[in-house]
Amino acid sequence: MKESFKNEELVIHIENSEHEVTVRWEGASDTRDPSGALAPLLKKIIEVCKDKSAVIDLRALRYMNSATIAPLIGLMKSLDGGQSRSVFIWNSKIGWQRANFLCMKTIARTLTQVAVESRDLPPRGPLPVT
Amino acid sequence: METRIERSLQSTWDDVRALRQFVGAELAHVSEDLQAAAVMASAELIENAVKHGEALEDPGTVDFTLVHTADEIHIETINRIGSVDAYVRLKTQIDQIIESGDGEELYMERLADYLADETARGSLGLYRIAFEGGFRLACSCVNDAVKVTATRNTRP
Repeated sequence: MKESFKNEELVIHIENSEHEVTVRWEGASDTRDPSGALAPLLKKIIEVCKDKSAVIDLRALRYMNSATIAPLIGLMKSLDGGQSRSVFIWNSKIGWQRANFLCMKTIARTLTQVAVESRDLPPRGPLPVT
Repeated sequence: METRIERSLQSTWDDVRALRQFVGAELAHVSEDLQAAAVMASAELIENAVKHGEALEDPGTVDFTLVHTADEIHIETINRIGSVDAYVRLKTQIDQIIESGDGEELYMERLADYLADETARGSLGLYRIAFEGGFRLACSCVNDAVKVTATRNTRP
């Protein structure tokens, strides 16, 4: 099952297969209150991922404001409370992603079910927005 | 070649996005990392200025300037601020960043706060400008306006 959600300049694609959920962030997250705007979607992602491994792919995120970091870390923490492994992936060839996600990788060491890893393969092409 | 951007913005969120996109387009000729750093620093400074204005009945405008020369990139916002306390908080945070060097440790501490407390919000933008963007921050206050500057050398 594939679904896509759009919030202003940010599109989040969810691909839900039998054993794994892939959540791909694309575009720019620059709203005044990403925590509030993304809350229903993040709740849905956490629900869908509760008994499946999750891949949170952030490589196609062009820009995020600092207010986006709190909901991302909140998602990490919630997924860490689940039964399955989750991985947040980013592109180390993009300077701003490298700076931010290396720090997130460091703080994620205290988590048991969540890893933060770089994978430099280009992300897949955009899925249609539904 | 010098790039100079001067804008007087209404204190609204739509202006933040428009200016972020404009800065990105105007700096399309620089390296991707420098462009991303300048865009991020510009947007975070304007976001802070707009947030300061939200506490005011008449926030006035946010005056934004970006100057890119062969040697450096300099970004500046001037906006009204609601109280002496708000300025002192801002100045204290910038002084802490300057004392810390590049702000990385403070940024990490704040991320750890977020992980420990899901209700924690804010205070990351200036750390990002220093740590991720590599800018030197400064601020000053004249009457009810605050000027925040972010400057980065562009020569290797």
